[in-house]
Amino acid sequence: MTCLEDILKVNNLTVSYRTLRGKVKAVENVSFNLGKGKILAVVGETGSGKTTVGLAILRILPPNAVIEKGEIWFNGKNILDLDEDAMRRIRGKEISIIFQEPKITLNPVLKIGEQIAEVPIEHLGLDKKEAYRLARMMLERTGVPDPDRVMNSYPHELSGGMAQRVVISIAMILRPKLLVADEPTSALDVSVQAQVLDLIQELVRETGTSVIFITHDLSLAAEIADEILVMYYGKVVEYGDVFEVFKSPKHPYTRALLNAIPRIGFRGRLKSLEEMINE
Amino acid sequence: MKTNKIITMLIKNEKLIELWRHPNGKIGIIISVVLVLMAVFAPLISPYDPNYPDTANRLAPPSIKHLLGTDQLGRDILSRIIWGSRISLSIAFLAVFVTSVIGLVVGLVSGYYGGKIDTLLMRITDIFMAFPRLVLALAFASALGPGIYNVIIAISIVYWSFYARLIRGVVLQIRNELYIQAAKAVGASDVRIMFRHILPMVTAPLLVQATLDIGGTILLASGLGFLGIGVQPPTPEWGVMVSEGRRFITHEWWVSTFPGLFILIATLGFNLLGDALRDVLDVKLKR
Amino acid sequence: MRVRKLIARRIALMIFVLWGIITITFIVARVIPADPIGSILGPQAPPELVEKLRKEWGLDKPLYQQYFDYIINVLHGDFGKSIKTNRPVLEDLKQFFPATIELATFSLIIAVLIGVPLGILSALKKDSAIDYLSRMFALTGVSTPVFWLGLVLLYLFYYKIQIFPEPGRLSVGVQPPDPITGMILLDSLLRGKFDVFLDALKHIILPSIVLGFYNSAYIMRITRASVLEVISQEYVRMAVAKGLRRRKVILKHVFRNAMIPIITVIGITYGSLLEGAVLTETIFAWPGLGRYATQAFLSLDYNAVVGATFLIALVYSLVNLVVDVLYIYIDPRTRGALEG
Repeated sequence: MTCLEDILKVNNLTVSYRTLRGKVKAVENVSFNLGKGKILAVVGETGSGKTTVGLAILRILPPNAVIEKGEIWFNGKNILDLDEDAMRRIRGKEISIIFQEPKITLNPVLKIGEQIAEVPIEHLGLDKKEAYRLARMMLERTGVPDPDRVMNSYPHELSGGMAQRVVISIAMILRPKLLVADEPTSALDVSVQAQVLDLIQELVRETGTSVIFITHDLSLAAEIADEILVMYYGKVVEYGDVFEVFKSPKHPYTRALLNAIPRIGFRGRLKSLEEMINE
Repeated sequence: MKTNKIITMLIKNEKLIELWRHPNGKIGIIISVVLVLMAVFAPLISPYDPNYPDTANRLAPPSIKHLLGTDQLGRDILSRIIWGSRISLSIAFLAVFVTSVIGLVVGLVSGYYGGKIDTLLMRITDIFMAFPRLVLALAFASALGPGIYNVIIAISIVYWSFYARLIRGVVLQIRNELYIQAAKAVGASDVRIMFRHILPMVTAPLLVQATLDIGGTILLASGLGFLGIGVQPPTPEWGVMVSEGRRFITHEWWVSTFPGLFILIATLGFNLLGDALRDVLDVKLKR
Repeated sequence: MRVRKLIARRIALMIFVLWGIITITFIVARVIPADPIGSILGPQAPPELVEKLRKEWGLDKPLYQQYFDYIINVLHGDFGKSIKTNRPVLEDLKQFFPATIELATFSLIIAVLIGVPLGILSALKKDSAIDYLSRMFALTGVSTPVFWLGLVLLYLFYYKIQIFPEPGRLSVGVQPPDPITGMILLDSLLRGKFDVFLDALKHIILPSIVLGFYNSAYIMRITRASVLEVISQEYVRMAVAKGLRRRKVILKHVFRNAMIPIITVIGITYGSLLEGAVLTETIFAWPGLGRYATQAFLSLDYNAVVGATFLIALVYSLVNLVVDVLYIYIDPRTRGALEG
């Protein structure tokens, strides 16, 4: 599924972690492409390696991680080959990330305004006043009520939903080409989840940002993604257009996942993973 | 046969093995065990009677006959140090034991019941913690008079508040956990909950802090001894020995240096052990 | 507004603690000793003298009465007379107090200047040779008896290799400047007597190193732990993900957070310095509160005991008060959620 409009091309990415018990493979031979303006959902359980893929793209893996092999093509360059300074210039500007728990993603002792503004200050060289104005506009755009007050607040004073909007503002303020969203709604209340999801979809449609949406929730993936990548124990087991995958899943794991989605009105016993794979 | 059982149980305990593998843990275990053995078997391994004045060999430098030299009365320093380990270690172990028990009770009650009792008890600990430790120990030790038991009492008065706070902290953390509430819902009595459910969670941080404080107590007690309060000469307490050798430091440096060195080694040993225990038991103590 | 409420509560606590300090010193001086006068004067003392002193000290009154009188006296600064110096204890305290503050503060500066940078370096270069050596230094530092270290260093650097001068604040024959603060270093600078300043400086360095040694080790460990903990936080990872320069990440995001617990530690350290001073002053013949207190304890000079203990605890409490208030300002999380 390669086409000229691809923003991101990942080839054979393999990442391990050095632990006390030796090297553990987290991600093995993962390959996929992402088209411009498309949303790719990366689905898997905890430990499937999906977060590692996201971190690898931004090259913010923990120090005990080793990229064994693979290439990540972005903007015509293999970003795994870039030096740290070049990569730094890409982060926050061309590729952004949002994490699961917004409140711990924000620095507790700095005001919100400063944490948003420092992104354009760093990358665009704006002065403080302009950067703060831009930050405030971004807060408005993400639907934060009373943006002036929020700009002057500290993270612990905000609710989870508000905090996540702030994080989204930080990630999208420079209209990146690629957004990695690692379970952005999992830690939020159900009522807020839908709002935040809508917000993300709106924004990326507006800016033309491609999204890698990491989640464990298959139904969520179905809702927002164009393409889906299913991971199991670090390997890709399913990859394709979301409708195709849902209609005719090729891998037993995918089938098992689909079967596990709760359906209203279902009677009878749920089958376990092993049972389904054995069938 | 019973000792065999204990040893096998100890060796099979995986935490102990981890402790041994820990670089600091290994050294800490070795030093502490050697010291305890030294204290226990003092009469057997001490080359001389610690109080025997070899007047012909006063202030003799280290030699084959007297490995660490002799002091101003001709007493063998090595023997005095060996016997001194009994004093330092018994003060340390007893004081830490007493403070742990007091702190445990206070912390449990305070953390579990909360409310006015908690506030009252914590304000009392605030008062005791308003004094620098040595100063408080000095005040009580001098008021209580000389003697090893008064030293233990004085040190306990200083340290109990820290334990009370520590235990209370742990209790507060787990008090709201579901399993405690479940036990309450089933009708378990408060005492039963405290013993069966809370106590096990408290053991790990308590053990770590106690080990570290054995080192701290050795330092504190030797400080008291150095100043001449608490344990008195001719008792071979290490701090007292350093003080006695002070006048001779210029020419007979060994009289003060070796006892002080042993204070350092002993404290270091228990500190290393406590550090390693903390890592092995994965206890995140309050800052 | 919230800040003010927090500060007010903290001050109220301080007042309560002060009351507690007074009570404990009372217990130490009056309640515990069986016969304070007898132990001072000895068994041969003529009964009239004993009785006279008893009346003078108010020991013939019932205990609760003594307690009230005691509180009132302390609040007026009246600790009675010292048996050794035969002066009001308050006078003694005024004389010896600045020397200890000078020593403790100088030692604190040394401890922070060594401990904090070493801790930061150690954390940033975790598991390197520097880290390993620093941690060894720190572990040894917190295990070293300060009085022994003082003796050994004095022997080495005063007696054997004569780098440092004899114990004491000034060399024999050097006149201290007319006191303004009582701290020779400050006073000599303020009065322009630079030769006195240098002499005093030479005398204070070794005792400060000894006194600061334990604390620099302690501060180093806490700093290292704090920096390591902050570095592992999500918001630091986010700062990197924003593409900020490494130096900015470290300065703005790591340090601002890592320094918060360290401020508290410095408060605790001051207490440690005060008690270390008790031991160090004895060795370095430093005419300060610590040495005064020790001699008071040894000679059962109860008025002096009370005065010295009270003052030391008071200073320690004040330092901690300042630190706690600072903490409220530095860490926004203490202030709770916004109103409305």
